[in-house]
Amino acid sequence: MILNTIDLVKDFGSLRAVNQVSLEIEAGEVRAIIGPNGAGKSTLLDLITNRSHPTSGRVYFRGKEISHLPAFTIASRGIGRCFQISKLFPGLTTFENIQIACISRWGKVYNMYSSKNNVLDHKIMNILDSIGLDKIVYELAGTLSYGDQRRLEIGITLAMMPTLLLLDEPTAGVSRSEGNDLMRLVKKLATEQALTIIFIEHDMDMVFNYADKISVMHQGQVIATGKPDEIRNNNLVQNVYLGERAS
Amino acid sequence: MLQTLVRNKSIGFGVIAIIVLSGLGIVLPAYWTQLLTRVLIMALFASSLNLQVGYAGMLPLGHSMFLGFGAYSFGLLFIKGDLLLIPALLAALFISIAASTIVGYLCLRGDPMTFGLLHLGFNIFLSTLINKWIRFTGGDSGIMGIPRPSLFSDTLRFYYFVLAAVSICYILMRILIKSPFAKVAQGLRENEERLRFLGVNIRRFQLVLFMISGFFAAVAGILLAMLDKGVFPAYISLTRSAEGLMMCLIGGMSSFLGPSLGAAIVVIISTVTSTYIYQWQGLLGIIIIACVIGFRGGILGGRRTQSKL
Repeated sequence: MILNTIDLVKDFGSLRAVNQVSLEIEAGEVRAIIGPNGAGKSTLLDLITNRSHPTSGRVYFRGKEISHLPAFTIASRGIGRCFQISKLFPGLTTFENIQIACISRWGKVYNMYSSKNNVLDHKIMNILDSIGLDKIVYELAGTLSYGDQRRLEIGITLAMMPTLLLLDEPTAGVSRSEGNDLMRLVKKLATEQALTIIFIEHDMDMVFNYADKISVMHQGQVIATGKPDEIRNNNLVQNVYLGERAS
Repeated sequence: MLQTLVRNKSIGFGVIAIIVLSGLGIVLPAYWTQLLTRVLIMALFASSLNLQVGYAGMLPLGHSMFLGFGAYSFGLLFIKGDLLLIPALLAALFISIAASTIVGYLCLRGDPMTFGLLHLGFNIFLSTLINKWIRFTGGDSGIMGIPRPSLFSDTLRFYYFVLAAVSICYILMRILIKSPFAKVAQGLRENEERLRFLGVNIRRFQLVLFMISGFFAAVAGILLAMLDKGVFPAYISLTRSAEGLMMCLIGGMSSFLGPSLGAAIVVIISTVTSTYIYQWQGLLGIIIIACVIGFRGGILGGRRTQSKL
């Protein structure tokens, strides 16, 4: 098991956003987390990466507790994160965006003497090539199309060579075909790099096509976990979330 | 040699700049040489500030503190501590780095606004301390009798001494801004949270940058003390901190030489123009307004491309 959470709770004042969530994710798995808006999905990812501190409960990554670690340490231990709204370096080029991730991954953050132009260029170009942005290396990230920005964020995260990748609505805001391209890319990279993936998604076609397992959240709780067919036929899930969408 | 200079524009420009500045020292009268010396020192001060403001997007509102740390620790060690010039200089640099580490550690907690205000608070506190602790710092009168190196005591020789010191600092800064460290600093300016999720310890990174910036400002402080043959509370005043920001803003924060150009403009306006225009601060204000409205990136600014920074 690569990641497990034990009784994670997050309160915002009187609102319990995440309620006693215990998840077990196997290495190499592609896990989708679905649920209506406000179910606590993004908050759960925040708790795993310590972007937000849990009120109670624990998170274990590769058998070691990470709940108390700062976000940057968790990232350097191998958990990559893509956000619901892409977090890029908008005033820098696509090349520089990946370059910063590579600098961090290869421990050169405090290197104050070697020319940045020669650092890891080959690795950076390989990553840009793998995410299909190798033709626009000198475009500023802030000027890219939304779909390309999503790709770039995935590229930045992959440059850190994570073992667990957390994607928050990776296909939101892009066309169906772009979304499919993006998920195919993620799945391909996951297979190539032996990644474990947790992704939040509202598009059920994407979820059922790409997830090995699905966890369904409702009002802060995980109400069901199983393979796509099991979730599709789960009465409780049908009632609270899927309804007619999956039938 | 010539081909190398042509191939590498930065080196070529640097060499030409040093040749031209060296030549100016010979042809200019003493008054202008002295003014040019001040421009060089303030250019170093502004460039040290720009490492934080332009590259990393931080907003240190009290950067004159570090100019003051350098100048006062050098002055006090020499005059009151009876140290020789070189030991006093080295000890002053060491003290300035230690002080910038402590101030940085205390200021770097939370959002940029908190950082800016804490920085300002330290500046006000230290400025008041220096003004009021008359027995130790000389208060308003400052500390007089700061020496120049004996070989460089006259105006022209001291100009070359400053030119050499500032050139070395510029070369070090140029190497720094071409390094992976500076690229990460730009990442910090663009998106702190993304950088955090790439495994960078933001607070430690900012602290290191803060120390480097403080070191160069302290060098400028020591040179300024030698130029004025004394240390004065104005070095550490809020006005001086604001001047530093003006220099960056006017010259352009996204360019390596922008703050230096800004320093030249501010020093010339405040020194030369003040002889002819009584309300010269008004002129400075108009230039700042024009830069903010007309030249958003400053005179040497403009659209960010990969070739810049």
